[in-house]
Amino acid sequence: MHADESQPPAGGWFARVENLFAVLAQWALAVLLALVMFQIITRYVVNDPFGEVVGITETYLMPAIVFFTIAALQRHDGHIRVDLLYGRLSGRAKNAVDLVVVLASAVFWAFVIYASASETIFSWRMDYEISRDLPYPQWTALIVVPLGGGLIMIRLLLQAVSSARAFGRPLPHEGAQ
Amino acid sequence: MTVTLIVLLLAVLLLIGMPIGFAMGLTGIIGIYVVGGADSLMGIVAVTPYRQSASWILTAIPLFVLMAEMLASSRITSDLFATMNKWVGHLPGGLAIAGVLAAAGLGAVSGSSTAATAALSKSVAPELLRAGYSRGLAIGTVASAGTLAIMIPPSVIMVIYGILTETSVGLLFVAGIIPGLLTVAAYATTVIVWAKYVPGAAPRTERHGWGERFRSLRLIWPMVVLFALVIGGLYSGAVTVTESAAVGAAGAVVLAFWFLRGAGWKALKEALARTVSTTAMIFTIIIGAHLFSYFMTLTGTPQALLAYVDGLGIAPWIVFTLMILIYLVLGCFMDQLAILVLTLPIVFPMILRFGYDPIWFGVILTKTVEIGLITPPLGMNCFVASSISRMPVSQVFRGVTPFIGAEVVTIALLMAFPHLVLWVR
Repeated sequence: MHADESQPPAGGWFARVENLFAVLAQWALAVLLALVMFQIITRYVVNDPFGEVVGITETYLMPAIVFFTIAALQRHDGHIRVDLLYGRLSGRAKNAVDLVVVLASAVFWAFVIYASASETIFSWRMDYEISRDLPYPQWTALIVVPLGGGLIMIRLLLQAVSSARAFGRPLPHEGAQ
Repeated sequence: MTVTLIVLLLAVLLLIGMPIGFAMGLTGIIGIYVVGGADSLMGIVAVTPYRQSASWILTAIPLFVLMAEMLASSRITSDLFATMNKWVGHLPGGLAIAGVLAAAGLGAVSGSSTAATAALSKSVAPELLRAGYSRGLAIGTVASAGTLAIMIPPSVIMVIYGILTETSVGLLFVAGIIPGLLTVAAYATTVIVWAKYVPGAAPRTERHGWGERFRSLRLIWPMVVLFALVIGGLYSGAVTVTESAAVGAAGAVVLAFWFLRGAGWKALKEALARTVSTTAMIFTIIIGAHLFSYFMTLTGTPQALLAYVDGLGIAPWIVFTLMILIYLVLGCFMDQLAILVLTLPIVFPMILRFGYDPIWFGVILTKTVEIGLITPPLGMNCFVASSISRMPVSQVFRGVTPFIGAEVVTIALLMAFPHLVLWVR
């Protein structure tokens, strides 16, 4: 999250994976807009609204927009935080806090991944369908959470490694001695 | 005891800079485990992240953000400013007032304050400086006027308040119109006083003829149509919140393509990228806040707090005023969305218990957190204005100070005269 800029970027190959998912999220948003407009038009022009729009939007598109973007957002330090104390830190203290923050964040996402993956697997085993209007396997929708969670987990671990390295490196004045 | 420890842990994690959504989620998870056990925890965490994002009504959020991003990237702000300048440019501080009115126009077709401030900083601030306005007045006007997007409907913050409290978003939007116009009047008055009492801060500009003024209105008709479609459609019941947001976003895309010609695709691509980032950021906080709320509900803290306040025997208006003061202080240090999701589970039941109207409270709360966008040390609009205009952030904070005074007066008016909001009932 706040890795030292002088270090080579951690996981350059992984940034491309994150970007790919972020682009998928952008496409999901574009499709969402098109579908809602289509629904309005069909309701007012031909008096026959395309009823599946609500289901497709809330079941697939919205979770994809959210969970396919969180990892790329983490890479760009885009998640909102209180900068009051953190902004005043520098050097080793900042590196140590970075490490604690990414590890604590990783613990949170580990819980989310474990619980949501269990739910997805359970739904797959039970052969659940989304609804009567959308008779598709429910796991195809639920899997978005462990997938997006997995992406941000990898990003957090890469950032933890980067922060740990920055923490372990001697400070400039120490190196000169 | 558990609640105190968990809240302390949350405070520590927030202070060391952990993202707000993650910190609330982690402390919520720990709290649920301690109070409800492993089974409750699994049941809640397995479904909350998915369910909170898989919401039809919350679809309005990315659509309103996309609308704002598309309009901010078009030349709509410059056109609004040019038109308003023709009408009010000759007044004391006229160009700055034109900037405030342009911001109000932008706010009427955009729900994102940050996007509005960025657009104003790019197009209005340079014009003011070129005309010889003082740097403080120019940048103070731009950073403050950017907040109008949060109050004048459509407003993303109002959508979130409406969803969290199950209050009508349509009514909230309409109720926000008069407070928004009142803020515009307060800002314009601030500019006039500044221009009159600080010599050289705002050189006078030429007066434009009536013919020129009416001809300039041709520039802004697309915005008027877009506003009428979004708010009119919603208020008349012709479309739902999500549909009105889609109409607004689609209209903004069409306008941006029309204004930008060949650059439309590039603007759309960038707007989509910024919108999904903002959406993911908002929903991460919503998910974390829900996990934390589950913990609070399990412990019965909101009810205990209600009973405690009841037992104090203090008049409701005093409690309400204290709450607003606390919100103003919180606004100095925390993000607007985080304030809403953190406090509403506790504060909203108290508001209902006191018999206050949820629409009125929603508007006051929106107004209060709006001020947080320009108060030091973390006023987001000031940082946006500073980074785009390349002026020191300390100068921006000095510039917005008189406008903060105007905001406080506006809040006092809304509290003293609830009918300014409740005429919609």
